[in-house]
Amino acid sequence: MLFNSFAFLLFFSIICIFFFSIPHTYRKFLLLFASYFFYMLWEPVYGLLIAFSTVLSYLTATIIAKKTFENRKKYIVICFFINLGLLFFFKYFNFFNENFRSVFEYFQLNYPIPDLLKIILPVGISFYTFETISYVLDVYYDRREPERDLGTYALYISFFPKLLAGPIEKSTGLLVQLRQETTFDYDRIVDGLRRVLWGFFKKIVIADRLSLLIDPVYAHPANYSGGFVLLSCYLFAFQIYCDFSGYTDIAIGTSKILGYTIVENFDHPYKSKNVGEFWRRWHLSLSNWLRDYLFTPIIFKRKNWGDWALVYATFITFILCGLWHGAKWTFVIFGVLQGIVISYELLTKKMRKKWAFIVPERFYNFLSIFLTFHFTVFCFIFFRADNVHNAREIIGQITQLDLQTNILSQFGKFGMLGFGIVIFSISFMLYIERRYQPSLEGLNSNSRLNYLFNGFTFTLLIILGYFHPQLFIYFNF
Amino acid sequence: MEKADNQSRLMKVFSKVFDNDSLQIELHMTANDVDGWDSMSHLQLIVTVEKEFGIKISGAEVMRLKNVGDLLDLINTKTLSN
Repeated sequence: MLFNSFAFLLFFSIICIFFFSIPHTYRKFLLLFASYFFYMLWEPVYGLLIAFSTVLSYLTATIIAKKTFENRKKYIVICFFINLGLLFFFKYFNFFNENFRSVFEYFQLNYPIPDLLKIILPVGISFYTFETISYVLDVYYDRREPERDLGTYALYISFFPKLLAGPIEKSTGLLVQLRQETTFDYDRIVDGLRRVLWGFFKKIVIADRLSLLIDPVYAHPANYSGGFVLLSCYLFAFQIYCDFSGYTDIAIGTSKILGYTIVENFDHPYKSKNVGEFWRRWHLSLSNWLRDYLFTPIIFKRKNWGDWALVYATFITFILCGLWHGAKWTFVIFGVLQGIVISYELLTKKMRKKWAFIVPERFYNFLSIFLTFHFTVFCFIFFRADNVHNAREIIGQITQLDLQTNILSQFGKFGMLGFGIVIFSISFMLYIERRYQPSLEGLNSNSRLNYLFNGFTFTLLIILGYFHPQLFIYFNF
Repeated sequence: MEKADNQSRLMKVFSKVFDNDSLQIELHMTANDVDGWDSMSHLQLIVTVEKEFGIKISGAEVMRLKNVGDLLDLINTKTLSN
């Protein structure tokens, strides 16, 4: 069941009616049932997988909380071995197997392990596995007590608004809220609905429509001029932002309607002045997870290496960050590129501070944003491409510098009208998020402006929307 | 007496690492409360604390620190038990 479907609107409406009609004590059972129902519609067996991960991490945390710190390690090693093993099996087995086979064949050796056909990636597994790990590590490091109630913990892991593509919630946030009673608050519900509407606008009007232009270009780059391929690469930056942040808006909005606050995932990422800052503005919940549970432990394990500990930790973190998105070499390249530039930024931090004093501030800021945005657009080629060959084709087309072909003649079925719609919609989206923040917190619930915004956005959605539900890109991760 | 001494020495370490003599550090503070307290300065802070107090702090011990007060407690435990 997709967020951008009438089935979901019906499902969520029914859940809301029941949720606000029954006492607080029974609400968690309703939400837990709804979450598993929502998840198992994708594939019933997925329900067993998430239930297994939930029980395993719950039991591990309960056991280690009773042990001294020195005696906890073996339990989390077993827990992570199984949980990460499942993630590895479903997501990476064929990737590593194929690559090992290639190496063996290169040396003309027999490779006995066949590819397992049709391993279907359980949607959301990368997100909820990270949540179970963060919960167990928080208990391991004495940052929190273990949750006593398995039902509440299971709901925290499977809570349907954020189950399929995050945000990755820390146990110190949502888990605490799920125990508290929420009330029917009209203003809060209106705020939540507005956020959902905004998410639909970004997904259906901008991201899905842009996919009609960008998908054919990535499928057959040779059919398009360099200028048009370049334009598609710039537009992909807005497609992926609107797709993923649109999903997040709907997740945050639906949670808000029910009375729960889940973390923000975006903060004007394309205003970043360096790549490190970009990761503090893009997919924040993943960046924070990687910082707290991977990057920081690595630098302190290798702290005697001085600045090289930072470089080492940066590379490991970003290669794994790349691979987290999928088992493809393009994601490894994406991670390595991020690692190289962020290491440079870490090692030249003092020097760059001096430059910032010398160069006029406005020029320095403009140049920093310009370079960071273009580096991001370049890296997104690897993020979007089907494989390394495809990425090379795209870059090859762009570098041909074909100035003869008229870009306007290449829009094909998408048409100039389609292009006009996306440019207008992107401009509207950028204006609104700049003025009222991506969370729309600048819009007062009861103001006339708020009604105007809701009416105008709804009208745009109906008139300009591309109503052929497309999967959210991050569901693939 | 030694505990108070450790606290003032720790505050000097903060001033040195963050290059700010007027930095006001309270025991309840976390990295979120101090401008510029990122991963790099956190690493510098721990390494400077180790040198200043002549102690070793393991990665797991760093991960268990919740605020400045926890860091001071850890320093006290390590220096006063010697």
